[in-house]
Amino acid sequence: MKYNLIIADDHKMFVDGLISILSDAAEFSVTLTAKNGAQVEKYLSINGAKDIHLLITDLTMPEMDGFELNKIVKEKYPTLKTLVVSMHIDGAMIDQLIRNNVDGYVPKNAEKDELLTAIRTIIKGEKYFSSEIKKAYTDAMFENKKAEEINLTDREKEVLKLIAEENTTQEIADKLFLSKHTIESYRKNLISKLNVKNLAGLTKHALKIGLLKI
Amino acid sequence: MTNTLKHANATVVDVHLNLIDKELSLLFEDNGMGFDTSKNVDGIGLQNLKSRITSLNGNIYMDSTENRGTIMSIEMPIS
Repeated sequence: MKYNLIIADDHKMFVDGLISILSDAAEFSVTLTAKNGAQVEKYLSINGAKDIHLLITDLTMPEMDGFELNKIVKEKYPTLKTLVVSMHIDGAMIDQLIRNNVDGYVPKNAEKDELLTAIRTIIKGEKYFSSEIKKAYTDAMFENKKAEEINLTDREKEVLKLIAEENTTQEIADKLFLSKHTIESYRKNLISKLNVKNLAGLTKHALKIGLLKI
Repeated sequence: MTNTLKHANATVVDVHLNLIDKELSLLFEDNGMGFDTSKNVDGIGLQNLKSRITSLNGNIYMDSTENRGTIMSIEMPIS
C-alpha cells in the first residue's frame, strides 16, 4: 500500500531534499508540496483528507504558519496525522503543538533514517518525538513548574512592591500600618522564598512579575 | 490559630513557615478585626506560648491594628 504525504515548507531546497529522501522509500508518495499553510488548507478544503496519510510541515512559513496549520488540520481533519520538521527547538513551541495534538516533531538537522522512522511510526498510529525535542519539552515544563511554585500572597506582593520602590523599612511599615518587625520578617521571607541574595534580587523579581510600572 | 477563629472574624489567614539560615520563622497573618496591642493584656494561652518560645531561645512578636488584622511572628534558632 502507498501512503500519501503532503509537505509544507517555504524552502524549496528543503522540500526537494525531502522528496529525494522519500523517493528511496517506495511506500511513500508525495501528493502535494506547498509553500505555506494556506495552500495546504485550500487543498484539503477541496479534496478532503481521506486519501492523505500524513502532513509534514515546517513551522515558520509566510501567510499561515505550521502552528495554525496543525491546529486547523486537527480540528477539521482529525484523522490526518501531522509531523513537524523544524529548526526551532523551543519548549514553549513544542508545548503549544502538543496541546493541539501534533503527532510528531523532528528537528531539521535530524538524520535521514530518523525522519523515515518518524514517518513510519506516525503512520502506524503512534507518536514520534526526537530525543532533543523531548528534552527541550521536559526542560521547559520543569522551568514552568518552578515559576509556578513561587506563589506570593497579597501582603508579600505589597511589601515587595514597596521595597522595589525604594521605601525604607519604616516607610513601608507606616504605609501598610504594620510594625517594622513584621516588614523585616516579610523581607527575610521574600529573600528566601524567591531564592535571591539581596534587595537587588527582590527588585528584579518585582519587575519580572510586573509589580513595578516603568 | 484558635484566637483567630474565636475572635478575629477573619476571612483570610496566611501562614508562612520558612527555614532561613538555621532560623525557623513562622509568620501568621489574618485579616480580621485586630486589636490595640497596648490596651490588651495577654491571656493564658499567649503567656503559655511566649514562655515556651522563650525557653527555646526564640522570639515572638505580635503586630495588630484595629480593623487591619493581626500578625504573629515567631522566630527560633534550630541547632
